[in-house]
Amino acid sequence: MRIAFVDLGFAWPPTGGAQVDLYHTIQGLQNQGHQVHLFALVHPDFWRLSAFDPATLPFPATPLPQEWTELTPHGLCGRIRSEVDAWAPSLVFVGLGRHFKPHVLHALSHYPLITRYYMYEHLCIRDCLLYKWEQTCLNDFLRTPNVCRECAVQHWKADLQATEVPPYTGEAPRAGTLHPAYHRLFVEALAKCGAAIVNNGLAQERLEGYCPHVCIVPGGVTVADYEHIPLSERPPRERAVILMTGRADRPWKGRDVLIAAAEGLAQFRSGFEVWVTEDADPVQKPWYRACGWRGHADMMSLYQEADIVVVPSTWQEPYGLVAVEAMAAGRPVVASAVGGLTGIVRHGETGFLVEPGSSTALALALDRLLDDPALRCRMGARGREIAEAEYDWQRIIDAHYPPLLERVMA
Amino acid sequence: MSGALRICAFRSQGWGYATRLHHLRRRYPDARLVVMIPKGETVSEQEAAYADEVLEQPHETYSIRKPGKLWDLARTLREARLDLFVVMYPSPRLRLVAGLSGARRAECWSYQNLIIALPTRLLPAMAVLGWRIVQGQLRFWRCWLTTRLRRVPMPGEVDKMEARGLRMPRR
Repeated sequence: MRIAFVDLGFAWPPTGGAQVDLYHTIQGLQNQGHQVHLFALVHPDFWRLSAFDPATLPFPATPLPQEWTELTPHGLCGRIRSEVDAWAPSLVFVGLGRHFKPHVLHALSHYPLITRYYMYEHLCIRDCLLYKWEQTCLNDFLRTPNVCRECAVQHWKADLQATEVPPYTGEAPRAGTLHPAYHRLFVEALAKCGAAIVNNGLAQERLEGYCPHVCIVPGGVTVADYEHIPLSERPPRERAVILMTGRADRPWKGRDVLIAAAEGLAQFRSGFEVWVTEDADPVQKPWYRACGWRGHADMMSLYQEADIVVVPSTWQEPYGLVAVEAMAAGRPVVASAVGGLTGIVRHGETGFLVEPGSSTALALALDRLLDDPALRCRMGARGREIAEAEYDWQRIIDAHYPPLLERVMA
Repeated sequence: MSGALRICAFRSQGWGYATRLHHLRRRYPDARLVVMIPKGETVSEQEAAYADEVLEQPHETYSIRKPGKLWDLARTLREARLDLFVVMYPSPRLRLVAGLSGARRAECWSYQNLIIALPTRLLPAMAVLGWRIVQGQLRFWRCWLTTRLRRVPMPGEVDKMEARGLRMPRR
């Protein structure tokens, strides 16, 4: 089968999980014998957003240079359509597209289509988080478009008024997101897709009825990349390391919950440190260390240093790749029982799931693991086994994509 | 050390400050690097490794609407006696800050991730900033009016958060 991949935000080396997901999906399908080709926008005027060198990719790719400030639905879609038509695929997979995605799906609707939503782009036009007032938002753009449009404009107020509009916000007026017709375009585009792939049950549930088929395909890791030194074989540390990775400076990632839990623990026990991958140090405590934002390669060694990995997110974490990475590195995980994390962490087997936002519940789980090194070793080892069996990229592609492709082509 | 070039790297919102310090240190290996962080923030281990001196900004943020804050910043920068002032982006606001710094020259990172010279003359910087502020207001009000006056036909639509009495939690 000839599968064209279209993405408006691809970058390699990656700057986010969506790019890693797309890369491995393309590579995995190529390994299955499909002919693949990536068509991805690159922005020469905005270096951080999307850039890649096709020569460094293991699959054929066409970069489509596009001035950020000249992005329009008509120009963009015409360009993508002519490039894809020239390659003549039998199926098109559309990855990241943000505000322009409905336009792109319409432009390519003469092919069987699969669309992938990595966060809650299909539900929350504001910031894809579906997180308002520190809780899961009950509204969504499909069902309450006017509420969501007003919410978005209020949220973007400072960005829209700014002297330099941030690219994601600047994209919305260009894509016509706030125009009333955009909602109809969005709904029609979803209906034209053969399948939509999402990361968790919440995203799936809210999309049901708008797209003919909605399925969950988890993300994965290349387990072989993770050097596995079991906790039992590592020289014992004087102070156990509790590690929180990811963009800890985002309020919804729950760093403050972790700090509150650690403060509680520090009142009656010592022998632990909290390491967080952020640049600035929000608390001056002897047990707290801001170890700076790390690249993918550095992260692997950081996991080896850790004794426990924490994912204290307070929002509906779409997937929770950090938890899978920690399991691949053979470390126990304490995570909030939210979103995709509930499907990854097996409570009592590979770690603990705790009530989101509860520093007490988190402290209790950490206390239990700090008290019992043997339990940490056991959970870490089990996590590694599960990562190898279920979360290796090729296994995920082999398990989920053949039936999906068959269904869409039928 | 007294003859060394004094460079101030001004930290503002955005990613990659430590990476920029790394590039600066490579570009000016013998210079004295002054890392300037917003009030109340701290330097990370990575940033501290490049810094010869850490200077705290007098306030967290700056705007042309609050000239008092800008004046405090200008005074702090001028007291630091800088040869080169480096900002993270070529934005009009940072261009104005560079103009106020009193440094002999200024540089910044372009959106293509190249280090470029930044003009430091105050009047043109203020004119550009003023025009951008007007553009920003027009942009916002156009979007606001679109959402208020042109509704998606969706009968029976209610804000489900409000319907359940949910509000922003009080601190």
